[in-house]
Amino acid sequence: MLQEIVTAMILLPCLAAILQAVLSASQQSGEANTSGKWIALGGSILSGLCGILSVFFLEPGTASHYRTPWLGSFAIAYEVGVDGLNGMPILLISIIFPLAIIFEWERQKGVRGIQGLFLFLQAALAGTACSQDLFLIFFFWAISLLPLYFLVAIWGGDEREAAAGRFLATSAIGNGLFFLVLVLIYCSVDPQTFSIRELIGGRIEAKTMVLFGAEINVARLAFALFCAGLCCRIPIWPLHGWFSGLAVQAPPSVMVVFCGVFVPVALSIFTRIGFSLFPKELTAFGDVIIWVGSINLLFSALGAVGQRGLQRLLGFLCMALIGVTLVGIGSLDITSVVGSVYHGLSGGLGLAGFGILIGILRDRVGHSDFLNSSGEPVLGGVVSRAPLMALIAGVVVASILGFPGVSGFVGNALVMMGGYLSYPNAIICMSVSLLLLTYAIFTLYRHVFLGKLTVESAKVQDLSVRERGLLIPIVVLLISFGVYPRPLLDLSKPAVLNLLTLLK
Amino acid sequence: MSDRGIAMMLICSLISVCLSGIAALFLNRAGAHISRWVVSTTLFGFLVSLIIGWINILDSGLQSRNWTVGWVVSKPEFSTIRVGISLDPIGVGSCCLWVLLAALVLINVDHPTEGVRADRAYAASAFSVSGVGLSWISATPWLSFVGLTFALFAGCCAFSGTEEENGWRVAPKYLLERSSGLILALAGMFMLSSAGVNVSWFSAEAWPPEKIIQIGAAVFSTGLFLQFGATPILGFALTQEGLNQLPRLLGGYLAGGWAALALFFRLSNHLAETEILIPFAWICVISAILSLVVGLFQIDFKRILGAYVPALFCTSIAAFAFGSPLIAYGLLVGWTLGVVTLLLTALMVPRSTVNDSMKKKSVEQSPASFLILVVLAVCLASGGMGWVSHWALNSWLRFAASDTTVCVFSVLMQFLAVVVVWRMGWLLLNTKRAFKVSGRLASSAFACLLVSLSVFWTGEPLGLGLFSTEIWSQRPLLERMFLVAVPAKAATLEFRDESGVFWAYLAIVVLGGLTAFWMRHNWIRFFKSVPKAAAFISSGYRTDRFWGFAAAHFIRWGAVTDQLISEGFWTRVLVIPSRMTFATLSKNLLKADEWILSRTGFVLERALYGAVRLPQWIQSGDVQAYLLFAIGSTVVLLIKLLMN
Repeated sequence: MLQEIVTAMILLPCLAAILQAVLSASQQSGEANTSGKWIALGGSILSGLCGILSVFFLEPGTASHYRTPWLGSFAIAYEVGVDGLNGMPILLISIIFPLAIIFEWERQKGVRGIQGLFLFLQAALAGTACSQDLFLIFFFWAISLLPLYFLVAIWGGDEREAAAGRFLATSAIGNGLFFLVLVLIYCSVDPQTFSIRELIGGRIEAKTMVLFGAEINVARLAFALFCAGLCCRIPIWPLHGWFSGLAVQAPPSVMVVFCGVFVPVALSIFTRIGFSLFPKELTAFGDVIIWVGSINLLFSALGAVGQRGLQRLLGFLCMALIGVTLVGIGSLDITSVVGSVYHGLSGGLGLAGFGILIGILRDRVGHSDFLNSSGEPVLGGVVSRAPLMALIAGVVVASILGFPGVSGFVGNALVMMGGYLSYPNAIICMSVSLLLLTYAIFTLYRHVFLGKLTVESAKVQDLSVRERGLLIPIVVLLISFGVYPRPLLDLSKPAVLNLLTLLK
Repeated sequence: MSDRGIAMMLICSLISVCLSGIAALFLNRAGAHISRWVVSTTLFGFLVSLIIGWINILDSGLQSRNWTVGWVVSKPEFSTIRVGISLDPIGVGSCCLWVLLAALVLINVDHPTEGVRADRAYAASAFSVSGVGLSWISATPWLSFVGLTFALFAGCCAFSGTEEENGWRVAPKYLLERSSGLILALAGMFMLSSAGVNVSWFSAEAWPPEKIIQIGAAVFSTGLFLQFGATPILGFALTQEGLNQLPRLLGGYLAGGWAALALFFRLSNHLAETEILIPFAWICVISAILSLVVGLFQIDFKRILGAYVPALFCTSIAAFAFGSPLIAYGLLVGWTLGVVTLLLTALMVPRSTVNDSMKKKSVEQSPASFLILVVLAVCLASGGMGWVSHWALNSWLRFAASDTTVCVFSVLMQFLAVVVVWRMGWLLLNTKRAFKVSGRLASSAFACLLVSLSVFWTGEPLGLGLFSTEIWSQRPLLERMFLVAVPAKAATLEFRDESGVFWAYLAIVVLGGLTAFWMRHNWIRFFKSVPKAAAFISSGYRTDRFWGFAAAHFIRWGAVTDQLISEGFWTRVLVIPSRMTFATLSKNLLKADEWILSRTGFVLERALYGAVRLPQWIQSGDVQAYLLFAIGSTVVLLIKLLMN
């Protein structure tokens, strides 16, 4: 039963997108818009329900798994499953995509297009998160590039083509590198397979190949290529230059999906593949991962302090999320790895909430800058016009910073507690970064919500019913996951423990 | 009642108090009168649950009742984040005190009426009680941190609870400073947990003075220190307006400090084991002295109070390290009640009169009841005879007498504190104006005085101990509370019983009072004689300028780093060189291709030309060629024939 639910979660958004396209071709524009929107929302919600059910019915310490041949002669299988590791990204996909579709509900132009692309992206990311086969992961992961590219290139800001082009080029390189990893692994094992379950256990560890006359360890080369490929797809210092443009040019809803889902899913597949296929390399390069994470965090915090625009700030917060998660993964400690998995969920939800707030503000005032080029406040005093928005922003900000009682606290706590004994310098660096982020975020809060009411802020009205419907679930989840995180942690802990046993 | 039942009852009542604060925010201005009832009811509920808890403690022979449960992970691992409730006399006492203080806010929220938003004041008092209450009745640090967060929220509500524009400026600054402190304290606690020490209050395991643990303890202590708002982050108290509001004093200043001190008190033994406590206490001593000096150089009542309150917390820490937790707690209770009473009496004076009192030459006389209350409040806040603060200061001096350096600094701190309090007192006593004393404010102030006099000194809830010699009044209740809460530390409460200490203490109080009296009209003259120094000190040593400078640098570094790495590195190191490399490569490849094509074309052309010429020759029917062929073949045939 569970495998059907997982398959439905992947296929339903695709079917909804196709249905939406077919219907819109046979209907008048107005009717098509309305029915298209409902089809998109229905498809997304149904898929989300399947995702939530698949996690809900999962017993801690178990995993659902389904495998059927796809391209049998090449050992490529349709192998999907849900376990403690991908449960949280699945929850994020299930929660945030319907919200993104609702967020674009009142768009005047191209609403069907944007919602259709969101549906394809939902299917691609659900497939990536659930896949247990390397080729299938690559397939869905590579596909996810296209909807994102079109979403930015069509509905982005003034310089959208350049930003989308950069994103496409860098991501294509990332996909290429990932594909090389696939080829290397496929050619190195006998019998040839892409199944992660079959590749577990260091099957490629001892393999070598001769390249330009030098003998090279296949696993090490594949791990390096895999890491490089990942660095090209998500913003990791110093290869994040493409992201600066994307963060500013992409529509807020796309940034919500990118920061809230895309990045956690990428980190989830890094955890799964890294621990399963490259345990030795992960142990050997754990320090490097920690330091890349720490530098990412410190750089993002420093960058966030100097920002004047909300969307770019969101970009840096997304980088900080990656930094914390990498520190957790690199620590190779049960507590910190569980913390990093949980931080993906809490950070994703927090950033999604922050992104939605940015989008709402942008809808009201037409831009997302809170200071002008001379440092004068552009937005200010929003709390007097929109107290509920300010209150919700406060909860979201508290979660991003890891205040007790909200979900960000649990992730931060576990990562820091797990990592301090082995890497005290990295944890001190993380503390400093958190302080800088506190400064950046409260400066933003002061300017936007608490400052003097500006002319532009006078246009801001409090949240509409639709917007409350978008934000209140996020706030409820942030508080719920912060107050009672145990069920989700109990779910992910055995899975992480299994991965960590591979290191030994 | 079982431990779990008591814990659930307390938690539920605290949650209801917190929810009433949220409700007050949602009900906004229009529903302020409803908020008042909602908050009052939940506070009463909390008080009832505290009383039930207290009865249970009495039933169990004054033994603390604890109940803990895993929060983040269910397994009871060593470093697991566990939460729980600990019901002991000191926790209950602190909670009761804060319910009383919140009740005072509810009663007197309309003093002064201008610009105060009642809904925010109610919310602030509810969050204060839930924050401080949670911190003090928590069995582990984690719930105390949640309490600290609530206290932070209380301050935010209190500072934004005004129509003044300035209030909106102050709230984010408050949030920023206190949040940074919270993040640091949390980071420190994570480090300590990670280092393998048991962070539970009641753990008997020692924290070894290892570097990795000391770093955690230092970060933790620094974070809590930031909650006090003392020098070097005092500038905030000096720039903001309107500390003459009770919600701001309670929510903004006292709640955060009380919540932070709960953690200090509970972890007292362990912090001492790490050897971090004494250096930290010295920092607090210096900070307290600097803050008190800043207070002396203010001419405004509320700013003096703003400098005095952070110094109060730092002094408590010093008393904590150089004396005992019991003394520190006594000092904290006494001075808290003292500053609240002082503010309550100040609120009786019509606005703007207090600070202008020195300038006005009037023959009018303030009401006698007001003057009496001011004197009593000053006595309480400065450790006058008979109050709990007197007991605490006197005991502290007895401890400090064994170490000359500690003694000198303790005397200096106490002297400065007495002068500052009397300075505030003289500002109030010099009020040359007749006004009607508010009954509510006066009774509130009297309630504070009564509590500080009876409960914590004589050991009787109603002060009846003054007239009886029963078992409850044999020892101060405070000491009895600590004997239960911190038995190990309380057992060491055997200080020198030197009669000279009492006279030294008396000398400090009298000298302080006399200095303040002597200088009461001369402060302005003194400031004018040293204008630069006065301006420097009164601005809080210009630390705000330093923080602003540091912040500006961080912003600039952030922008530059972003520019350098996002734009510079990406564009100049990756994109442009890659583009140039690919362009050059492509150009060269094209050139090579052309050259190869041209060369191969020539050879091919030649080869093809030859190959093509033969059929052309044949096709074109060249007679000469045929002729030559015919002649040649004929010659060959002839030679062949001739040879035969």
